[in-house]
Amino acid sequence: MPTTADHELADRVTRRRARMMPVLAILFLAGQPFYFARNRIEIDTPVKTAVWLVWAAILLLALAMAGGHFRGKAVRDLVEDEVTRSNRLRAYAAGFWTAMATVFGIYGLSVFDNIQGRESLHLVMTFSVAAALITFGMLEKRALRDG
Amino acid sequence: MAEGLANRLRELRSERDLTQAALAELVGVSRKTVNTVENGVFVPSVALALKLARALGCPVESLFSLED
Repeated sequence: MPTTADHELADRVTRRRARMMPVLAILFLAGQPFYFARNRIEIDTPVKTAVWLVWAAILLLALAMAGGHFRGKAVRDLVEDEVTRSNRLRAYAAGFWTAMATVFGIYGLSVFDNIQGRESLHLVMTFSVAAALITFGMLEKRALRDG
Repeated sequence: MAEGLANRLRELRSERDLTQAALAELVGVSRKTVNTVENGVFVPSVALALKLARALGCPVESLFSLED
């Protein structure tokens, strides 16, 4: 059975996670104009692409694993409770529908502009990851709000 | 209330002088879980509903009911 200290720690971890997710998503989105404006994909450096990929992978891991993993099983179970698991599933759904909407947008845009495969993947990944993180953060914040 | 499910969690918890945190500790879940169930934001699993009822010493059907 978790102790009072476990509960307090889990509460802190959960609040921090709820605050951090939207911030990470906004930072992730904020970096994209530089990626597209300064360097088109064809003159992109491998380092820049690698940094973006690692950043995206870290965000996906943060969404999937989010918190309490180095705090012991009791804290982890509290942080990953029923509500969190439900919120995460809803966040995944938001990410999926955002990905679909982005794909539709890219198809529409491709009528007027030549969009490369990597650019398309970049856009789909960026918007869907950001949408999932923002949704998760908002749902967690709402769950923490006292009624 | 979520999905037409009403609950008397706040009322029964208050009658027993329990805070959300205290009830959460008794049940072994986070305070957030108790908070969301109490506010009707989250519909708990059967197992969680039974645990909440046991911690409050009441039958689960007196804790949760379907709204008309």
